[in-house]
Amino acid sequence: LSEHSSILAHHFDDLEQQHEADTLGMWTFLATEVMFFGGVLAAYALYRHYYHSAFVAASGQESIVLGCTNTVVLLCSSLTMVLAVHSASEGKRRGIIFWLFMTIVLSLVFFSIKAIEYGKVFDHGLFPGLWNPTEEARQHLAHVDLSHVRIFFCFYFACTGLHALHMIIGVAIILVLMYKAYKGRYTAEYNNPIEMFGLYWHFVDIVWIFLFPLFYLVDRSGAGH
Amino acid sequence: MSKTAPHISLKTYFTVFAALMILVVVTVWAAGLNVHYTGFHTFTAMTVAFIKTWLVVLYFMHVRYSSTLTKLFAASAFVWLLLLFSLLFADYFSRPWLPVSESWANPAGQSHVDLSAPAHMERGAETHND
Repeated sequence: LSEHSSILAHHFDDLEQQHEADTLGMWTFLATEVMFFGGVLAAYALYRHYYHSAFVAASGQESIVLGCTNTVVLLCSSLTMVLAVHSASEGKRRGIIFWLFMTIVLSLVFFSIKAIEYGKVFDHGLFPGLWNPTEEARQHLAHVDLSHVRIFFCFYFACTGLHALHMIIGVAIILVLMYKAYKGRYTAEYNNPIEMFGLYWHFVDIVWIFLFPLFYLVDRSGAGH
Repeated sequence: MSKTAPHISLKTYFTVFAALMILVVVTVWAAGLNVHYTGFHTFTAMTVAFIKTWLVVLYFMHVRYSSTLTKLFAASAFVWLLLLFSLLFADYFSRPWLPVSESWANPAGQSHVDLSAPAHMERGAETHND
């Protein structure tokens, strides 16, 4: 067991128990994250129920192509993340670093597309903090109450912003993991941090799986798109 | 290796990934369908989202291969989410069903008060327009 002593914390009996405790702790954290995003989405669902037509029109301002591309990009990053975890389980140091790097690259693609999207909303004057809709936006939204549209964009920026914040934190953690992998800290026997981070990354992906239909696909058939 | 992390074949990961891609296409396609039943689009979009979540949780997050205790913790997150949504909507959706006394429904001699939306929301719509 001397070989394990550096990777096995002294308060655990063996690696298996340590792994089980790590997994359980991570899932407890993710359960609190589900409640965190769940609260925001519950409020969104309620407003969408009351201001349906305004939310349909506001959602029509979003680009399905950009939103869908970002969905695909994020799902690809989940695949590269799972491949990093797989490399870690086989103790392949270069595999871990390469797939973690690809995950960062895909995150940057996601951020770039998000920046284009946010830019468009700002250009139309639809950012709730700098609310000044352009003539073009007003024409598109002429049949609905603009104050309700503003609420839609409050939720849009709150939800996608919180999601992006989680990704930024994720990228920072990946950089640390890449450095430690480079130093040879992770082997086939011990790679818990990579696996636990994988759980976090997939959770962030799941949040987007819900944000995409909720914000980009609100009754598209009726909106005439 | 099997002592700490579950070993899942690459084929499983790629199959799940392919299924997720197909579901992205399905959700965009379904959103454009010309169906006018109330709630159809929300229902299909959320159903597809839950199927995608199910796949990610079971395979990418290894819950299928995890201990029963981990499964319980993972499931508890969604159980609490279900409680949050069901109690919240039970309240708001049932408000128009309640019998309301004349003095409530007609507080200031108004001919009609729409109880399907809370009063403060409706007022906000009038005063904060633009």
